[in-house]
Amino acid sequence: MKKYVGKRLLSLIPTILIVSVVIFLLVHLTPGDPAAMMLGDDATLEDIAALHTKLGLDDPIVVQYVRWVGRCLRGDFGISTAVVGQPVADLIASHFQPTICLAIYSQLITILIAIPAGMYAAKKRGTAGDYTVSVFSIMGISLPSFLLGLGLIMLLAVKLRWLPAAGYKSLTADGFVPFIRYMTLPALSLGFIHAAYMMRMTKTAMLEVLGSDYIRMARSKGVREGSILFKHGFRNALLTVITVVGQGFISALAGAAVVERLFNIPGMGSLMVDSIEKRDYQVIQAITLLVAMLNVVINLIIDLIYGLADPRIRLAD
Amino acid sequence: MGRKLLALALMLCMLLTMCAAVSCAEEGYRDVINIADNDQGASYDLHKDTSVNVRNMLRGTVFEQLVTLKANGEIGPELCESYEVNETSTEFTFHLRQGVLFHNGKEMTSADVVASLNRWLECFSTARKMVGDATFVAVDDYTVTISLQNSAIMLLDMMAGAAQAAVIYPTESIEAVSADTGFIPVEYFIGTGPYKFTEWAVDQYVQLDRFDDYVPYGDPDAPIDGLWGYKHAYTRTLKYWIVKDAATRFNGLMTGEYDFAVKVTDDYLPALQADDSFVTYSQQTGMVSLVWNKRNTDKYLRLAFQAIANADDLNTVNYGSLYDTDPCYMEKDQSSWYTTAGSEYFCQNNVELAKELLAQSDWDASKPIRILVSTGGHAEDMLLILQQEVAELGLTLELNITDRSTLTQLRKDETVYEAYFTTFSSVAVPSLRSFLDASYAGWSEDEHLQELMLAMTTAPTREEAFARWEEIQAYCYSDYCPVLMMGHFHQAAACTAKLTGYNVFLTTNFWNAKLAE
Repeated sequence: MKKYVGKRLLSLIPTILIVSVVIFLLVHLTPGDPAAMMLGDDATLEDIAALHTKLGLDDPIVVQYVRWVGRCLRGDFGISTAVVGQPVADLIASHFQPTICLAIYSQLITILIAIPAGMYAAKKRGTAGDYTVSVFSIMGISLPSFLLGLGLIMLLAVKLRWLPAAGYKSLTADGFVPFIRYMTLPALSLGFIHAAYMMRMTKTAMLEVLGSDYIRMARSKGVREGSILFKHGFRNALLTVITVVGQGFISALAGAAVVERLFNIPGMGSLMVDSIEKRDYQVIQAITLLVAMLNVVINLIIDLIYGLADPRIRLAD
Repeated sequence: MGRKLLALALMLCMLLTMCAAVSCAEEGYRDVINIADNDQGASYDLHKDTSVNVRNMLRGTVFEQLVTLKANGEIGPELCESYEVNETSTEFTFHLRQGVLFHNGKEMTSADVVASLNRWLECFSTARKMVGDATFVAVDDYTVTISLQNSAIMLLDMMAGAAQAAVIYPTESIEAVSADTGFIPVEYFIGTGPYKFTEWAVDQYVQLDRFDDYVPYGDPDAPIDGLWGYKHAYTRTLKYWIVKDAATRFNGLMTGEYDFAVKVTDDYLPALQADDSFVTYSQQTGMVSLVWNKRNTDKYLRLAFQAIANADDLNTVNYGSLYDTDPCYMEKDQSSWYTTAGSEYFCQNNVELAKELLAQSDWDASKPIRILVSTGGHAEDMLLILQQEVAELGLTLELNITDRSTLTQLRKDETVYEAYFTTFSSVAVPSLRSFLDASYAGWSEDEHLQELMLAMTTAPTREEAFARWEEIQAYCYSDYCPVLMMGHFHQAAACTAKLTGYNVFLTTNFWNAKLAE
């Protein structure tokens, strides 16, 4: 087991190396100039050129890459050009908390909605309840998260005034209640969309399990229906659910930019979009590396959970 | 004894709390104004950062200048008591106000002014070119002077209103400039204005808190005149929230999260205008134009576009009602530089004239005219309308739609385009209109234009400079046509009706704003 985890973590090295080269080239070969973005629209070409040189952007691309890798190895990810003077590590740290909180909260909503609904639809297959769940599921898959977000804002914030329309309060600095008040609408927008997908996957997995021989055997032996559904059925369908939760978590971490922008949450998604718009090379590179690492680590965690969920799976040393 | 003391202390606390409550109730105003801004700056270092958001937020609020703009375009003394300019406009002397304090408690002296203004010259190449090798020098603790080789009456205008604002920092801030980036670090954002720069929570908000030792100038009973006048700073805190999405700003205003929102788009205005609890207004914000690459196009092609263009059709599709077809290259607010010279040539919507002009052009009509345009807004829709208009002349447009950063890069390459679409925000003086600069993308290298520009920038009096400016604008419209000028776009802002006392000049200033409970 330890050897397996070690091997997987070692695989991070080539992954990060390849990602770093690809993203560095992509970022630097894309037209655009961080110096121009730093100085604003009315800056003169002369002032832009002077800053360009000062930032070392005139150096050959290989020199810039080696310099960047050298700094990264020393734990220095550079200085942002979109937020001048701010260390990239600090910028990512401050934007990571909102994103991870949003990802966890939205995944909780996803799980709370999707698993019971998916199990219910599987159990009541072909009934009105099943069709209702399917309709919600199709709606969720078809509906873009920003549209759902706008609808929720209009209803719950503008009309009913139950929740704030936008903004972010930190769990650590502002406390639990403000945090929940501000985070509920974005988490619902994101969570409902993921829930729709997970609902379908849970239902499909449950149907497959409930149609298997050992379930029929359990029923013929008179095992209670609740026990069949939860102990035998759901546990065997859990692998699919875990995979979907993992994927949902990764996409919530890396791709919640639209929801973050709509609800004005200073998270990683909006930071990435802004950095691309403003050609903040250092931040783009650092976030990409971080997301690549998170992908590997989360997938590893999912693999480990597989083993816990299903004792038949043993991770080979 | 101890209990008695405790009871006394408690009573005192209660009394103080009641007094505070009464005082607050009497005042009837809130301590914080929440402003939804549409973007944050890259640095908030006003000597370098030319972003509109940055100067709108900080100029006059946190940082002040030796001179500033009045509503009629005159220059008013801000951190100086008075200033003198010699007859040839080669020597400028500023007598500083005494007792002005920086936010760190230090008194402003000529050493701070000289350090700041010489850094400003270093950062701002246009001003540097204007003054040559000259620098600001201290005559005594409260007098600063600069002596130039050539006349430069517009130096004062630039010190008062340039995008790269000539604000005064203490010497400590200038000494703290980062060696890596050349910018002043946030902790050294120290000014003399009525508000202190307290906090920048990146991507969330910028908080400005009242500076209780602020030393105001002007008449306390008179309203603010342009950017000049007595600043009361009634409200304790101005909180600028960074809200990039227009829908979010609108929703936040509706729910009371924000008291004021900038850049309200045309689709949200009717709902706000129909509601008495909100106030909306708009103002000229910048000019809308297609900048020609003069190295790839001849003047007859450019004049043909100007002859056929219909400004209303073009602007409506992008700005809805938030535009005007004023022909001046400067904004109406800048009355001392406002002129209608050459306006008879502005977007004439005249097909026959356009055909005559095109007949004199060397342009091969079978070639598409390549235009760069960036995403965001509906600028590409404007160009689709233009495409339909010039189709009557047998011309075709090829649009290259990119993001803003890419456009900024591509427009440096003269071989890849004939024109690019852009908007220009207001500038302090006409010489800062970048499309008139020979080295700016588009390359206005015309000798006559550059002679006129030199004559304007070296004019000894403002009257003479203005006369040259009128000549320049008339020549551009009638003959050279460096840009297809389409008009001015407006930006709408909205606020709760409880907000009063703000003044609107170039932007909205909250120095004397009050927000009722």
